[in-house]
Amino acid sequence: MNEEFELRKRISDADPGRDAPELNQSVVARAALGNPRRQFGFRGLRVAVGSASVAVTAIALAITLPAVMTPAPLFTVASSSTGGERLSSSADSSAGMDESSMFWPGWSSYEYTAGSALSDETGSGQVYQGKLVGDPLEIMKQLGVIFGIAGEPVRDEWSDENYPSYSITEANAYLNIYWSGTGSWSFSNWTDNQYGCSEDVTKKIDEGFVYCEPKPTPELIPPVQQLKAEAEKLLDQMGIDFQSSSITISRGDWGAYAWLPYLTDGIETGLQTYLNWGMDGKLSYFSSHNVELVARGSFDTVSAVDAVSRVSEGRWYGSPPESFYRALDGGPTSDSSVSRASSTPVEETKDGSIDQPMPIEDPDQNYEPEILKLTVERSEVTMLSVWDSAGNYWLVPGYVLFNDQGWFDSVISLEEGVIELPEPMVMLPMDVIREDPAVSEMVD
Amino acid sequence: MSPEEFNRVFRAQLPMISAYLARRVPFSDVEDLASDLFEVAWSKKAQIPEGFELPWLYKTARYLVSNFHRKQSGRSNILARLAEPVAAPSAESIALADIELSDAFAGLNAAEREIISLWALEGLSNAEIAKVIEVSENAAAIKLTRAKQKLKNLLEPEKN
Repeated sequence: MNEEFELRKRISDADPGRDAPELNQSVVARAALGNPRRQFGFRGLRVAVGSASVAVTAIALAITLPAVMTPAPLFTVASSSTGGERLSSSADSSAGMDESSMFWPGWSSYEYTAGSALSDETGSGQVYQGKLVGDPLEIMKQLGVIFGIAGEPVRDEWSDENYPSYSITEANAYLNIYWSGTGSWSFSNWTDNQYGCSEDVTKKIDEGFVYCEPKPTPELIPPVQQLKAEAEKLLDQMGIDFQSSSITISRGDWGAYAWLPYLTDGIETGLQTYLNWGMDGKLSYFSSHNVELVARGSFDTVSAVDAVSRVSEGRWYGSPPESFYRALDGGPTSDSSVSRASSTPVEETKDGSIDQPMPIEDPDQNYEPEILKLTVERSEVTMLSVWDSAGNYWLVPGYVLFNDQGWFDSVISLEEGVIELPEPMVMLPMDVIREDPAVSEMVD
Repeated sequence: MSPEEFNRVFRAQLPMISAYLARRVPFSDVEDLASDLFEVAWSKKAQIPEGFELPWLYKTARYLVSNFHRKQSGRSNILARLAEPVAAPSAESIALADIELSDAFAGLNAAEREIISLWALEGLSNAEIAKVIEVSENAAAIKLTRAKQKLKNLLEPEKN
């Protein structure tokens, strides 16, 4: 059978949404009638219990920790529903939004030990707080001038007071900004030109699906030097701090993309600026940030040996600069160009053989995680990106710890007490760190 | 659009919306997010293209899911890097049924998982995917082609 169909079927067979809850039609009716949602259902009850827990904890802390003796932590690290161990591990570098491990124990558990080459020396490092720069609507207007987008920014329908966002929408272009965290914004531009299909990979199968492999257009994609010049011109126009040597460009048969680290006052934040060029060789995407770093002081840090124990604890997570992930992927270095010879078209295998899916396990069986022992062989000092419980961005000292299995974990190296950690991960979706309405407000 | 017509058109989308949300957020949060989504749809009903109600709902749900995850974790590694909302099912959610597929899925980045899901789980065409992730149909087709090839390579590295 067709390989495309097999892949699609295999993914469909593993659909995590097949047991999705059946929603009552009142969900739609309430919206049309303007009726408020239930305010004291299960979620409200969870919030109420969470609020009470926070209140009790706050009273307990006030009694046991005299404020005059213990300086307040700089910030509270945002809670993560996936647990710091997986978030900070490059073994699952795309798991930043993975939520379901909170509900699925996972197949493996890791135990880390420090190798003999790790240093046991302590140190110190600077902590920076991210501050949004400028006015979002003014920024949108300025970007609109640069990208040739007219129109007034409007507040997005999904925007709220904690995470405001604005956008300008045109027929073939879109500009938006999130005014929280790092003030990230993006520009998208597309044309209505229909792509041609490569004849040899256009397929029709019995089920009626038609697949079209876009025909490559390498002749329309500018050379790397020209793309880099265009990128640098735009960065200059926007006033984005950059080093020419840090721009990495990948050019292929269907377009090109570039990325570079986002700097502020010469400090590498761990954030990235991205550009994309489409099949027509024109800029199709640009994204960056509007944040500056404010130094909040120098603080003591633990040794690399002590940092190893923090990996398993799972709460000392921070995101390292993108360059660590690129090095792990063996991705292209600056100014690389992908030759046509290296781009292989999608081909259907002649024999159509595909590995059979794993047999479905008994859903009622209790599984114990497999314990994997890892040795951390070396470490690098770096700055890690962290978000606090209010959604603000911070840059803090940390380590990238490389283990004997070929990947790395990143942990914050600040001594205990400088920042407040989130509560350990629990297996139920309890909201603990958020601004909750008073219980009385939730009762009809 | 009258409330009755809104009801008629959008309650037909409930099962798909429930499945979309259930693939991306805890089941216990599906109803709340669905309520948010249909409230937005009611307030923007004049702007929803006729015949494209479901892709519009997916597009808006994408932002709601993205905001939901932001509030849950306070940060997002992928969001900071991509600077655009991405609402992708996780590899762990696939693991129950197909461990090998789950491992391969984990090798994709969030944007790749999202577009694969829109194609294989939500069953959208290139044109519909383009409307959901707000790119051209060209770009959607290319992104999907690359993501599928990468997934195939991860599933069968020896063959590819």
